[in-house]
Amino acid sequence: MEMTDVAAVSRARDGDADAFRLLVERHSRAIFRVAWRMTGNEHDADDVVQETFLRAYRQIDGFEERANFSTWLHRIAVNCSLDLLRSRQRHERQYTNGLDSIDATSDAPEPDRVVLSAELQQQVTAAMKLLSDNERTAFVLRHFEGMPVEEIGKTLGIQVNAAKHTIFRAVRKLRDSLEPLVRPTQCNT
Amino acid sequence: MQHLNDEELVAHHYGDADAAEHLHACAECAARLTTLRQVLALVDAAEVPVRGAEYPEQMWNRLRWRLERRERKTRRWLLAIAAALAMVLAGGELLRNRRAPAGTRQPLAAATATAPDQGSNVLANAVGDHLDDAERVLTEIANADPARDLDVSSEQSRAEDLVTSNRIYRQTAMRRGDARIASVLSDIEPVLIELSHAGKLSSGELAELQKRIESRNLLFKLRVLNSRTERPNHNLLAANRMHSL
Ligand SMILES: [Zn+2]
Repeated sequence: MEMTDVAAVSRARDGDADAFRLLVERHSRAIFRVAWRMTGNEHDADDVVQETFLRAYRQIDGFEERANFSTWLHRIAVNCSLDLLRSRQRHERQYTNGLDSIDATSDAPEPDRVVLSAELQQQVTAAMKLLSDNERTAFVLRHFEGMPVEEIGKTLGIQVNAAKHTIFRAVRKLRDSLEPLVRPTQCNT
Repeated sequence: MQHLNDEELVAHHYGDADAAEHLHACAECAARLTTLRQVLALVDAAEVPVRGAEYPEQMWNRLRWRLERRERKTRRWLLAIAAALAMVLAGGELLRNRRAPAGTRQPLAAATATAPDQGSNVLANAVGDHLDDAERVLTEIANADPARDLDVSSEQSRAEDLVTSNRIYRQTAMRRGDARIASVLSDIEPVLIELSHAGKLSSGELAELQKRIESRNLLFKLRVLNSRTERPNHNLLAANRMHSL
């Protein structure tokens, strides 16, 4: 019989490596997906998956058995991704000095981010890359993770209204980029 | 009739507000919602890079030794004690052999036969684990992407531990006259020291370290030495390792 996640957690807590391994095997690919959506980069996503499980292991005593392990793990992955994005921002800031404010208000894509191919896949990836880190996070949390707005606010450390607005900005940017692709025949209306 | 603004439309889509009444009555806003949902469906349809069936296993392999580190930290003191014990026993053995008159050497050795054996077993196990650790750290450095900076800050305390134990084992090996172990351990020590001081390796520093590991064949030497280090309780230790995390 398959061991449930909760049973595996409780055995991992007692130091059963195989039980923790089972959890890694069961969830790593799903965690990769959320990490990739958050970071937009495969290498970073792999690092986030690894860090997520390390944190999960360290914090496993804090997991409440009533909770859903997958949800709990996803939250950790989101926080790891945010940490990575933020540390990178800090790092990049050192090199851009005062140019920050100009960057923040500019919606223009960076030259190397312009996608020349017309393929849908690339268009969507490119559209996601136009989002700021906060916008992407808020969007991934609301859209893919189904996290309530209040909690998104807590995760990002912003007010509920600001969180709501960030989600909205993200969706609007995506719509602006991708709308031409979903109704190519309606230019005459 | 005032139309829904974009924000209200998005809130409605995610169930954070209810604009059903207006949408029911207004074809224009209903069409905008449809477009919005088509866009989001496109985002849903976008493929995430594929991670194959082997990914969970690979991830576990990446994770495993990092998880072990926790247990190893607590074992560090035991290892240090074991090494010290081994040194004392090894020293005692030498002393005894030197001092014992020819006639009495045999019975004396027989009477205390178990002590030196246990000592060298403890040492062999401890050195073997140390070699495992060092090999993993060097492998990670050797395999890192030289085009990127490598953040080794999380490895710093581990590298410090390794420097400490490396010194103990190198000195023990020298005292016991095991030149083979001593030579490999003194080869890897500078690399470990460098790692214990570095928070972040620039791609240049990383390439330099990789060159050193490669040119001195450090990983190869470590592996050969490790495979020749007989560990009486190794399987038992490996089996218990994760359980005592
Ligand atoms: Zn309307």
